[in-house]
Amino acid sequence: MKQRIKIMKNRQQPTDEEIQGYMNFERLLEGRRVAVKRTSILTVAKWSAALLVIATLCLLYVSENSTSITSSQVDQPHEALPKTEALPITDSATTKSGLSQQEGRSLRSDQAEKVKKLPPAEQPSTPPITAERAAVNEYSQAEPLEGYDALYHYFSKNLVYPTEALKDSIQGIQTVSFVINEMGKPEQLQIQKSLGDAFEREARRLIQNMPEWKPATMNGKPVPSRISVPLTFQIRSIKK
Amino acid sequence: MEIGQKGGQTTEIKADERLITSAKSDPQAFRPLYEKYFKRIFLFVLHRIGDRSLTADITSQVFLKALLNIKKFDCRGVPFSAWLFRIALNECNDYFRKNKRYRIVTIEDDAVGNLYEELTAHHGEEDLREHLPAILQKLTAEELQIIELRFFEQRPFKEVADIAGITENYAKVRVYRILEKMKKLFLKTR
Repeated sequence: MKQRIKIMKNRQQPTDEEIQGYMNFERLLEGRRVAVKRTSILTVAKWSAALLVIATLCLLYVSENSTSITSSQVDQPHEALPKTEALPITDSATTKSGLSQQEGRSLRSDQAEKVKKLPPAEQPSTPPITAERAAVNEYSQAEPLEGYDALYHYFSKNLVYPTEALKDSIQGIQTVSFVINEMGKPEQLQIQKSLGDAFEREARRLIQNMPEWKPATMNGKPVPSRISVPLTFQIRSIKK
Repeated sequence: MEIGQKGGQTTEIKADERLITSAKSDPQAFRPLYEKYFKRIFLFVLHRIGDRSLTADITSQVFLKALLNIKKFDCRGVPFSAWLFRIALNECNDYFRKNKRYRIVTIEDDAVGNLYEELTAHHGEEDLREHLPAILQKLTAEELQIIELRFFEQRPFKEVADIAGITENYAKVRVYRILEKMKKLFLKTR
C-alpha cells in the first residue's frame, strides 16, 4: 500500500521544556482507569451475550427435538395411536386423590388434610404417564421380510432400463415412495423425482412385484407406513 | 567502545525489566518508563506527523496502549524501546489511514549522503537529491518505513528489525532489495 508523502528538509526540534509540557502521567492513569472500566463492561456484555446465545440455542435444540418427536408421531396413521391415551392417568389420579380425601376426612384436620392431599395427587400420577408414553412410542419401522440386502439385490437384478429412453440417453436416480400397508403390501405409490413416463412404469412394475415386507408396528400392532426408495437407472442395466 | 556501548545497553535493558515487572502489578510504577521514553516517542511521532498537538495526542495514545498491554510484554523479546516504537508506528499508520493525511518524511543532508553511497556510483549527489522525493513516492508504506528507519534516522539493523517486527537478517535483506528497487527507479528518472 502506497502512502501520500510530503518531503521535509529539516526535522522539527522542539525544546525539552516544550516536550515536557505535553507530558501528563496523571492523565495517562486516568485514561487507563477509563479503558479498564470500559473493557470490563464490554467483557461482561460479551459474556452475557454469549450466554444468551447459548441459552437460545439450547432452547431451540430442545424445542426442535420435541417437534421432531411429535412430527414422527403425527406421521403415523391415526389408527396406529392407541385410543386409551390418558385414561389410566386420570383413573389412577382420581383414585389416589379420592383415597387421600378419604384419609383427609378421617383425620378431620384442615392442615393435615392439605398435607395429605397434595403429595399423593402428584406423585403416583407420574409413573403411569411415563409408562404410557413409553408404550405410545414403541414403534418399529417397516422392513423387507428378507432384509434390505435382498431387496436391493432384487432391484439390481430386475430393474430394466426402458429401451424407448435409450435415444435420449437418460440416466439418473428416480425416487419412489409407497405405503406398506398392514398386510405388508405396497400401495399409494408415488414417484417423487420422475425421469419420465417409461421410467415411472418400470418403477411401478418393480415395486408391485417386489418381495414381501414386514409392516411397521405401533405397540406391536401393524400400521401402514410410507417408505422412499431411490432407483438408479443406468444404460448398462439393459436386460437383453 | 562498542563493547562498552553494548554493556550500557544491557544495563539499561535490565533496569527497564525491573521497572516493567513492577509496572505489571502497579500502574504507578510505569511513571519512570513514561518519563524516560516520552521524548523519544514524541520526536519519533512528530517527525512523521509534523503537527505538535496531534503528536502529543498520538504519543499519549501510545503510552496508554503500552500501559494497558504491559502484561503481554515479554522482557526476553525485543527491547522495551523498540516495543514502544512499534506501537507508535502502528498508531501513526492508523492515523494516516483514517485521516488520509500526508505522511511526513524528513530528509536531512547527511541522510542523503548515506543513501548516496548506496545508490549512486556514477551520478552526482545533487542528482539524487533532486529525484529522491519522486523515488520515495513510488515505494510502499512498508518499504518507505524501513528506508526511513535505517537511513534517515540512522538506526542499527537490530533496532530496525525490532521496530518492524522482523528478524535482523530479514531486515538486511529487505533493505538490500529496497535499495535495488530504488536504484532502478533512480536510473529510470534519468
